[in-house]
Amino acid sequence: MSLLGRAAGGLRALVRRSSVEQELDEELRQFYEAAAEEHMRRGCSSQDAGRAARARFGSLESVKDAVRDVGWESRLEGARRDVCHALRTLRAAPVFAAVAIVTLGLSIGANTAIFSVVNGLLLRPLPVREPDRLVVLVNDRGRSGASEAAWLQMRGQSALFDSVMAWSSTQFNLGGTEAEWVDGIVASGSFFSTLGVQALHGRVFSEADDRPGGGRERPVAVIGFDMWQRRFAGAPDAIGRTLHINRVAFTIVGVTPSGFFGPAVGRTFEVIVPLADYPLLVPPHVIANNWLSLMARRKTGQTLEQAAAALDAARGAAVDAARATGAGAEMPQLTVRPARTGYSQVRREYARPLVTVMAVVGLVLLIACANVTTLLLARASARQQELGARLALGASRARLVQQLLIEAAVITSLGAVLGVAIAWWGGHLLVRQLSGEAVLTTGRIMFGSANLSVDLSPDWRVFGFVTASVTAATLVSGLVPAICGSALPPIDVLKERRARHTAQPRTRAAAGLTRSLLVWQVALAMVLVVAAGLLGRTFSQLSTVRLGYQPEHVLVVDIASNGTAGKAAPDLPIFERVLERVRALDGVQQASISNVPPFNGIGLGVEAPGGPQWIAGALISPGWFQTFGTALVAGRDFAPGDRTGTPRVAVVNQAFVRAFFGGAGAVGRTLTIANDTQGPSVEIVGVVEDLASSSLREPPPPALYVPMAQVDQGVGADLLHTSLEEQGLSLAVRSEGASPWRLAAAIADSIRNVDPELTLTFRLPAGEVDALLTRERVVATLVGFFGVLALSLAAIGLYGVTACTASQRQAELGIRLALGAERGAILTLVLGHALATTGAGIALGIIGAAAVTRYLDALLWGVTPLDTVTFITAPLVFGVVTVLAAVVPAWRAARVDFVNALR
Amino acid sequence: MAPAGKPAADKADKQSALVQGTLDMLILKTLALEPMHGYGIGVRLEQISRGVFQVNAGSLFPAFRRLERDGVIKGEWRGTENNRRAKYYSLTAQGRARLKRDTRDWEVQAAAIARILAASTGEL
Repeated sequence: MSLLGRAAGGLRALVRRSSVEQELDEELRQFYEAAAEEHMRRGCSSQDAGRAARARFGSLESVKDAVRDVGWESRLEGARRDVCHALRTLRAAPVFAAVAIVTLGLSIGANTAIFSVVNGLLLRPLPVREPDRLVVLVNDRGRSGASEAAWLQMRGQSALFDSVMAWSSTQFNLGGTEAEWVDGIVASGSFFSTLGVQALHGRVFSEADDRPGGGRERPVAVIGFDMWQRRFAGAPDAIGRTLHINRVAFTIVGVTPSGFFGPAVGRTFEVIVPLADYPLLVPPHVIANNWLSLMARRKTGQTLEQAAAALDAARGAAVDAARATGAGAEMPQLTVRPARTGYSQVRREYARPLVTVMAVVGLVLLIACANVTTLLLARASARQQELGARLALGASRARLVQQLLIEAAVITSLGAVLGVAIAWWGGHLLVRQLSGEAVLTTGRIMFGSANLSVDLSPDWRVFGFVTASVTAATLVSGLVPAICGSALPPIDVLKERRARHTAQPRTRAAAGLTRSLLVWQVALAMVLVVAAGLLGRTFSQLSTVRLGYQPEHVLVVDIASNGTAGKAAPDLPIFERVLERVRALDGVQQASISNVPPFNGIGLGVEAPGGPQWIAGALISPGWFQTFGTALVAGRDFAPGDRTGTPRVAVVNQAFVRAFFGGAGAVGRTLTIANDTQGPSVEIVGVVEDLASSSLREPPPPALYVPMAQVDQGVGADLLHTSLEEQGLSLAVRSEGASPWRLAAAIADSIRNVDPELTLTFRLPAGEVDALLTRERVVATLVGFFGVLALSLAAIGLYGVTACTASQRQAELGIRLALGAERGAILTLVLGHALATTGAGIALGIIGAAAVTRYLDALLWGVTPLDTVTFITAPLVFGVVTVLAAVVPAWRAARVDFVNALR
Repeated sequence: MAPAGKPAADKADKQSALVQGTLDMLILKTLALEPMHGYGIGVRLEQISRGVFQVNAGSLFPAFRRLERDGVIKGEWRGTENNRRAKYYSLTAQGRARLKRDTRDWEVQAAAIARILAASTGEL
């Protein structure tokens, strides 16, 4: 009860401060008057009586202090006063405040921004019902890929889990003749019930809709919240409207809630379509083998082990049953993994770079804290008179430490407020950059639609992180100055001491501390700069990889009919007519068609000693190499004369020549295409340079090119036929100028004149190449930015410390000058002192960097973790910067008027 | 309450930290006899103890605030004999119970201490 009473009393004292104070005052005055009266009764005068009472009982104010100290609210009051005092002193020293707050703001902001991306991508559970019960079914390599047959088997096992669902990410074309590709999901009827998601408007589809042709008359689709806002302006009558997906009419039946992005973190969807309707959209043979991901919800109370055991048992039973009937076992070997945070490819790609950047910004925060510590130490030594006076007036040392810590906390908190704003802006910028999405001014060309979509909204984890950062920053930067600043014998300070000819032990200790902090700052900044150098070199190496073609002049149009369901595939003559027309356009230097765009190889089997090898290849028309700017190294390109009936020819690349013929001349040799019924051999008529591999990090693979006009039977024909059915052919156009997209409208017109029903998707190879390197570019940029920031912070720290030390040593330097020292010698003295410190820091930093960079190995390419160039350049850069930072205050110190210095 | 009390609150804190609980008990006992204001309590304590315990405002008033917040005494503004306003404290029911408990504890402790002090060399 007394706890409540104390709490209540304290609150009353806080809230109604003036009335409580008044009461206390009145009560005590009455006490003193009563005491004085007694003295007067004994015969003193009223004045003497009053004085006697005060002498006996102590001053009124000291008794009031004792009474106030009883409650917890006095400590709170003290803290509040300290905060106000801190704000006042900050306002009186705006430069110091600005530097400290901005430094901390940038660091805390950077940390929070990266953390919120990490949180959204790695830590946050799915926004569904009871995400802890979700599991994903994976094979022994951790991938979730099952065939449709396996899914049907799994669906039949209703006793294993609460519910199971299958899904896959795909892309849908929502446009007409000009394709508008969006991310989408195709999912089983149990998708929404397994995840536990209700529709925001309308309804979500269920098992009843997951039937070929749709539940009732028409196939249904559910759209995402963003799409609903964008395309239908959030109108409720969007439900029931028709949406053409791959030119097939679907009825929209519902909208998912905002914030739901499907089971895969990092991706989002615009439309979800039932699994049974997928064959309407895409020809069956296009669908890859193990294309479905399976996810299940455990029964309440079922543990992970129980679920895994049940799955094993069911598979065992299925295998036995299959063996008994003689059919093949369809159920794959799957195990369960917790899927509270969803199942995501994106996570795998981005986890390591993000964690690296997180470590980098953590280091930056440490450096920033060291800077603020130095600043606070300097301020504490400048405020010695004020602090000494407080000590003399009776403040305990703990109280003084509390005051100084609260000052540090105020600075850190203000920095955190700035930091949160920076984090909000920075996090979104980071995700946009990592997306690599760009839409050119024509509005019709989009690069790869692999957009990164991360929920950055702050949750308790982000708030906890900010609070922890602020607390850690306060303690790290404030504790030492607080303890040092309050360790003053008051009597020393109250004496007026202007000229200090010898450094006191206390100031020596503080100076030593400051110097060692500087050494650590320089060392940490050095590690960052080295890391930035390595990552920057990786990026520059990758971006100068020889592509083997010139993407700046090329525009590619994928011409297909698969977006138009129910229409027959276009045949080769149509494409040849298109080619004629496009070649005739103004501004077109060359045009050609192929069955694959660059970077998406298909395989052809080539007989080699040791068995057929799969080689990446393409079916192309004459002029293809010229269109892309790939150089012909030997022999000739295909000609219109290479048609059916003429000797079969092929062109290979240099990697092929190296792999198959050991680099010797290949022109004139013959190859045998495996499993080709058309005839055994194909003559090599030309060798072209290598096209870079799809990831740029691997060496270019061997490639084989065959003329499209020559494949009318056999393996090549199958390939061509499949291409025409699936994704159509790619028309590549080389423009005369450097802006190939300007030809897009004219090209689209030409194609529509030939056949208005074809689906066109424009792509820019130049943009796709850039997009390949998005991750490396962003990481290198970030680490580079923070490396520069760290270097600047260290330089600022060095400048401050040198200036401070020089001013403290003013008297000593004055004496040296008076005794005849040259100004140059003074300069060297101060400069040497500063550079010794930074030299130690640089050396420490190089050692640290050498130890740490091996963890970057997975991200690097083309440079080793101990790359000589970087390890030599970074210290040089540091040396130059630190000399510049230290020379200015050293110069000023050397120019001091020694007469003034001695006074 | 310190014998020969010094005005500095500091010193009072140090000494009364030992007897803080005892001071509380003595105040409660004083109020059990009749409600009183602060000065009156101090004077009464001094009187009854025959000068051994002297009034120390720096210990009394913090004790009043503590006891009031604990709910064992209740403060009320009333007119004094001289027609001035003073804050009179009185014991609550809780206070009576606490006084009884504290008195019993004190007696037990005092008896134990007396036994130890009176023990002959053989017993210790």
